[in-house]
Amino acid sequence: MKPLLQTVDLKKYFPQGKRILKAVDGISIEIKEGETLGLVGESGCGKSTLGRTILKLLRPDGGKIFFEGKDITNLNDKEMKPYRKKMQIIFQDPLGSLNPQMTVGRIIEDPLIIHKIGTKKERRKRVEELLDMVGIGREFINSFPHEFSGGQQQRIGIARALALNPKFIVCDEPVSALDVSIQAQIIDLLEEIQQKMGISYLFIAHNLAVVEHISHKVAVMYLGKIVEYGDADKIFLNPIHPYTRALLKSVPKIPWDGQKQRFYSLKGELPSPIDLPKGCRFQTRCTEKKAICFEKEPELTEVEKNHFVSCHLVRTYRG
Amino acid sequence: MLRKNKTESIGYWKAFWLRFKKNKMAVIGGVFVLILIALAILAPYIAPYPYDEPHYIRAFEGPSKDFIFGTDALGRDLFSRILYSLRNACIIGFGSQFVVLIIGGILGAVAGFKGGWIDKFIMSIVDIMFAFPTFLFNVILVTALGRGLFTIFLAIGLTGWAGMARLVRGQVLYLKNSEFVEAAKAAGASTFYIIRKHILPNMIGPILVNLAFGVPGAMMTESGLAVIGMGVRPPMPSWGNLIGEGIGMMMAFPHLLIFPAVTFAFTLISFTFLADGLRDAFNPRSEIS
Amino acid sequence: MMELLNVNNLKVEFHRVEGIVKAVDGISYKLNKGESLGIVGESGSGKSVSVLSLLRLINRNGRIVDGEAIFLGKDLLKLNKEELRDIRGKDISIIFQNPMTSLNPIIRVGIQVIEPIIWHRLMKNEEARERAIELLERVGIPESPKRFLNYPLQFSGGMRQRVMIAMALACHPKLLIADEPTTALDVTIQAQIMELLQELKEEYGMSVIFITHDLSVATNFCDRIITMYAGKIVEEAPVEEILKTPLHPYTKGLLNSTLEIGSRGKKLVPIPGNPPNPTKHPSGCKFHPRCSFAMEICQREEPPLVNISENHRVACHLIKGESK
Repeated sequence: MKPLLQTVDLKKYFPQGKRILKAVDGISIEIKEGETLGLVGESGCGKSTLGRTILKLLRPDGGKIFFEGKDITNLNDKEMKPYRKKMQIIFQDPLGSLNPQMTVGRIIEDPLIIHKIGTKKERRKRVEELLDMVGIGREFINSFPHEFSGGQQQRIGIARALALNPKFIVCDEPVSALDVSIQAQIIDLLEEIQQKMGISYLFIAHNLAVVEHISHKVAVMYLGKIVEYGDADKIFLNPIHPYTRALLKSVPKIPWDGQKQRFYSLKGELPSPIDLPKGCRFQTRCTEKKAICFEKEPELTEVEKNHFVSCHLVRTYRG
Repeated sequence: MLRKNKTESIGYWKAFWLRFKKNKMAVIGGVFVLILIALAILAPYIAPYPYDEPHYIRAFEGPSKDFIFGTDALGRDLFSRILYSLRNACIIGFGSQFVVLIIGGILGAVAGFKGGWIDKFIMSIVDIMFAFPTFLFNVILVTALGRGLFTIFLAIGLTGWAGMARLVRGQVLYLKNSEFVEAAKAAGASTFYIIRKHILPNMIGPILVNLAFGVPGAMMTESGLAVIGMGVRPPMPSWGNLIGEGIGMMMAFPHLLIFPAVTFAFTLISFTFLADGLRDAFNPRSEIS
Repeated sequence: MMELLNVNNLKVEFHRVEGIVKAVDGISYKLNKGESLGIVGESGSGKSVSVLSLLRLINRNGRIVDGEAIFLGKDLLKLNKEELRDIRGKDISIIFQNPMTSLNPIIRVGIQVIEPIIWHRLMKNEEARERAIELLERVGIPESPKRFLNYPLQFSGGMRQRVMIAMALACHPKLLIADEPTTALDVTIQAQIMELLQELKEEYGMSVIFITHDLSVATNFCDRIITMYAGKIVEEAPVEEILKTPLHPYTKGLLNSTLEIGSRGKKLVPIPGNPPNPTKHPSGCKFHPRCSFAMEICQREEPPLVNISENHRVACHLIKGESK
């Protein structure tokens, strides 16, 4: 079955004076219909940029994007308009993504108005349906965004993204700004919607625990490149790249058995994507380097079926 | 399922009104401004005398039954003249701000949207405007354009748009990059739609506040011009004129200074309190207990 | 165990256009020397206000309407401005949530760290500078003599948080308040900061109040946990106890909805509904609209906070207590 969305060696660069910030540096992923790809990485690794580039909110600087088999890489705004009905986005800041001057009903109706869909009455009916779907009562249709809590605001954003019946939604850290107890609610809602409507997600997060439940596939991103990629089952069961393993260990575990742990930390911070070192980009923080890591950039190699890793030490783990 | 809690939902404008109401100074200012505007509009009908009708026999009289505020050197009714000053000041105040809005608003919006060299170019003009001695510029313009009401408020508007341009540009830049605009783009909205539906409505608040402060500012500028003889042509009265004359006669006929000065100050304060209150009321964080 | 802080029946209200918000509605807790207490709750539960109000660090339209907070023999709530200023930064320090906005952008970082030392007149300029450089190094900022002169802009979020920690420790405080210090950080940087805080807590022997909405962090860092809901304490117990036998449905709900590695294949059990509207709290037990065990009495009467055992308190009609 052909994937719904596919990127081939996608690139997005930001020139900074004489130097270039390679935010997305050759990313190839695919997402099937009804599937969720969890994209995980620290702030500054390029994951948000990737999400926006896929939606053509940013212009790609290289590589290709295929949606439903069609090459949309170089389509201009006008040509993209019909595709926009099928690809949507949910943002990290629940309040910031809602126009403070518009009522909730008008916000959700916006995509319908933009594409001139239905009569006023029909649109209102659809908005009420969407409010039901995301768990906000219809009586709030004339309320304003600031009257709601973060979790509710995020639901409104989801309702808006669903208005045009999209096939694909980029979820850009949709729960990072929410309380832990509300995070579970929103993830639950997104899963429910996926089951009902068969929508595919690119779920972006900085915490692997957040994507563990909802993802079919996982991609771990570091400084513009993917370092580990494949079936979520395989990656969570058998993480191979040192970065992936460090990310997993960074998530605090509740000491159910009474054994409190020391917090494990990955040393250092994500370096700037401007002055990339020669060789593997993870070298500054990796605890298991060898000489070759400073010389050559590793490539994604298949270590088991549907599980790819980009690391020179991979041979050690294979088999 | 979220069910409505029993509070009424407070919309943006209702919340604004509630905050505004709580600021006593602002409400008082607002009420007075409304009264003043009404007086200004009705001046021709309620002024007891035409502003230029002399009564030479009754010159330099203090307040009396016939002349509430007294008379000036030519026996003209001070009260009527003050009423007309108020009228002219309002015309100039509001007129100039209209000019400021058009020029500053358009230039600021273009700069904010287009960015690049257009932005740099417009902003350097703005910088120059700020560096310029505005008053001098006003004098030059009035000399060139003439001393009518229209030309004066045009001149004040032409010298005073820089602040509005900066404000509008800042608002546009901020809103352009906000996520709800991105969401509209992701939904397929055209730039025009985004400007109309998403950006403009969000700019009204700060712009209104800027204009509200601009009105008393323009009034003061005109009175400054009048004091040096560049205001509206006599016999048309202006607060600046009246105060200027009054200062000359201060010792002998204090009423000629007191009434114009007090009424002018009162007007300025009312507008300023109103503008102040608007600014606080638009800011959702200024919770007043 | 020596008692360091004793808060009694604290009540804090806010006056908003929409109405009066009872942010903290009569809470009492104690903190012993060397202990770390976690105050856990959702946004709007009153957790931050319950601690920040002790140092009068709340909004101008907030009012402390009742209660006392005895710290080293003095009631913090009755101190005047000067006395408070003497305590802030020296005996009690705070680190805040948003490292982006908590540092003054136009003052060099090193100067901001020195500030509390100079203000409290603990050392002379040269000594203070030495100490600041030491502190910056201790909190993990490399090349600290050089970075001493940098501006906050030149630091990342995690680094700024470390600077804040250095500032907080500058005068060897007896009590450190951490108000959601890692909420705005990536999980990897959160781990670094928590590791640092763990080390410093042991090294300095500080008592800590740690405010958060994330139980996975609180249960590893703290000795004791208080869960708060709608301005009230609903449960309090040592960490081991609260994990073994959580009693309040809200605490249980929080524990069950915390996302951990290993949740794949399991069903997610979020707490339904949302925290209540701050101006219109529900009647009776404030949690009852979201509680799957709610009984008829829960709608009418607020459950009192009772002692289940020596160190475990709970406010729930389902649990019969021994004594108040």
